[in-house]
Amino acid sequence: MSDPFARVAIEGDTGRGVVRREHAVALAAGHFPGDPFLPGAYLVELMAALAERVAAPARVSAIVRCAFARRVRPDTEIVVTARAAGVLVEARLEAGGEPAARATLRLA
Amino acid sequence: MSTPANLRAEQLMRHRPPALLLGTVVESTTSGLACEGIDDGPWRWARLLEGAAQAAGLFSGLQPGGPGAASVIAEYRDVAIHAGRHDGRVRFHAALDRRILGFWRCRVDAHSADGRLLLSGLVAVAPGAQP
Repeated sequence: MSDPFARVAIEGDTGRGVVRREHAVALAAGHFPGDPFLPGAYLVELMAALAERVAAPARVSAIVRCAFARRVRPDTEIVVTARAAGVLVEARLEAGGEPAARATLRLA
Repeated sequence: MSTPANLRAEQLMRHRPPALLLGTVVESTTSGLACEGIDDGPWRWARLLEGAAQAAGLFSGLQPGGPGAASVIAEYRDVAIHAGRHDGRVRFHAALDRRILGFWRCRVDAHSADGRLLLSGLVAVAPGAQP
């Protein structure tokens, strides 16, 4: 996966990343024609990508839970935040300023 | 209810390439569904997860009273990533774990052609009426 973020800020055990618009458009291709939104699995991947930057060199080994609140259109601003605490990372994803997904990820 | 084997998933789904990740349906019954991946990869873990979710959506959508063709994924839970990336054929399985209100929670997994477990977990499928 190419770098999904246009901007990333890491401070201590927290991070914030703004997703590149072109990357979001690519992830939504074919999902679905005339009604594009990002697949949930790729929203988890965006949260995991930021989690791994916050907790480097640890890698995400499991998704404890990820819940979705709304569809994420590729033409909206997508912002991911993550906070590491031990082997877990709490991540959030907002689309157009609205909460869209939240996840607990396990690191290895 | 069963669906004839060797049906192409694209005949039953609204996903289109490159989002469509399921190929041939090799087994479909009221208890579960097995489907080949659409290509030989590369399968990064998120692509495996999306394929597994599509299998869960297809399985639940085929059941009487299921969430329908416009269903969406509401939740992932206890997903174990056994392979960060896989190159080669993949087979997805989905089976009903439990129904919770309008949600269909399915147990899913992805295996390589030689039977190695690549990813497993639970996927909750919801009727697709979200904004």
